[in-house]
Amino acid sequence: MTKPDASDQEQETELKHMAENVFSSEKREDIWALIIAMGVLILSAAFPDQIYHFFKEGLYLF
Amino acid sequence: MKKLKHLFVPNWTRFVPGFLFCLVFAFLGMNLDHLVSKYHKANIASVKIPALEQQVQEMMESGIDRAALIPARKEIEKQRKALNMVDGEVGQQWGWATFLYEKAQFKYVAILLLGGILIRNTIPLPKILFPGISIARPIIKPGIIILGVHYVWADVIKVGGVGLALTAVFIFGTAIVVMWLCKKWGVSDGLGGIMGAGTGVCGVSAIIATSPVVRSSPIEMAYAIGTILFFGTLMLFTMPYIGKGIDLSEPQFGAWDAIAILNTAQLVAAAEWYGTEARDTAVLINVARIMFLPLVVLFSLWFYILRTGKQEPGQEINKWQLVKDKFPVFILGFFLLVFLNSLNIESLGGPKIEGSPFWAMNAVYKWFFAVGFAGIGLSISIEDMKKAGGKAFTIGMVAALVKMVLGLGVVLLIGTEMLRVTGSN
Repeated sequence: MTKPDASDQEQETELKHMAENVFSSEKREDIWALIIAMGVLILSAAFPDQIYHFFKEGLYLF
Repeated sequence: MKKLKHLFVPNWTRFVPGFLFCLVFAFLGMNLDHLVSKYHKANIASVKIPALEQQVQEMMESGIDRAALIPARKEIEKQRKALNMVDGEVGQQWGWATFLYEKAQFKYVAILLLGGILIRNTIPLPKILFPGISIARPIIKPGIIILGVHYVWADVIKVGGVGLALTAVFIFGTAIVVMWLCKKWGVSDGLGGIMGAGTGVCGVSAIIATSPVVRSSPIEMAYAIGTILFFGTLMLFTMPYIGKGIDLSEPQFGAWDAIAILNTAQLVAAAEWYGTEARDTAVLINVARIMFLPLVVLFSLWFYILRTGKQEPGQEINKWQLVKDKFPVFILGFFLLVFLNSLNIESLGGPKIEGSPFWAMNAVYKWFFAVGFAGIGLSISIEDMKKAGGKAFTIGMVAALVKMVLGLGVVLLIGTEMLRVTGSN
């Protein structure tokens, strides 16, 4: 097996870094999705009628 | 505190303009959908009311019990309401609205996807909008979690079980065939690995997850992502028409869609376009599918590194950490809502129980989907798709097409009932 040269290693590190960044952002997305959904659950439990009418009627202008 | 800080991206203000742009676009798309649907319903009501009134008249003349007239009268009331929404009268026609809504399927999904593609590829959008547009797509995730109120455990076991078996066969089948063909045709391990994972599981996420394991280069990632985007976009716009053309039931379409389309956002869009039952089945099978993502990454590790003895000493990969890192945690929220809905808790109600929390939540998810679809449409750039090419593109496309055809055959064999979600009924 040939030894990877410096540029290969640099590219690999850069790619690893990029993948880690993207994946930590996927994790962040997932956690935000959970927070938002739980927020909707709490608001819907507290004000079900208002939430329903806002999203089913209030947001439609025409 | 450090963990909380991790939730915020440094320089987050750069996402604001593009995200606001997606919100406004989603708002306009939803309002346009509402307008067309209102006139479509009025058009139907305008024809239906005289027929219903005549039916009631005949029933009264035949001396039928008054209680038997109640359903017909309720229906007339409902139709009159639809007519009043546009200040219309019986006899007036809005054929254009019925054509757009029923024949052309001009619904919010199509408006946002096609409109988004049109805007992105014809109007030179300022670069300041791009970061925000890219974060609008994952807004579909809270929508998927909220959709959990549509299911009960019986659905998860029945449809999810079938889905699990289907996805297990199709995911590993496709991944193995693509990786093997790529090896046979001399495609590099880096590209073959991400192509196999990408065409097997959920497209872009799988490519990103597998890339460090199989050591792909950025250009190989661009090729693979280009291929997945190209195929997904093609399927998103053709599958609903093929489904209608061959008269596929909604649950069957949902299952087929979840097997054939690789990207979560795109498959939710195609299923929502087809109908609510299709969407419910597709989302459940997709949840089963994305649970396989960590396993496919492990498989790639074995196929390219462990099996061939390429692992260097001192660089052992922690397999459990790998599975933990790649697990899509948002589906836990989905299962929590399925669990709560299955318990039949009176204070939470259900999606059809007026005034209950789950009924209110059911009104919200469509708006999350709309923002996500706006994000997908606005981020489909023809230039990006042109990056797809080469042998791996041919292998990926052929594998995905074969999976689509075999998937169709299998859902036709399984039939509608095994794939129908009953939780919301």
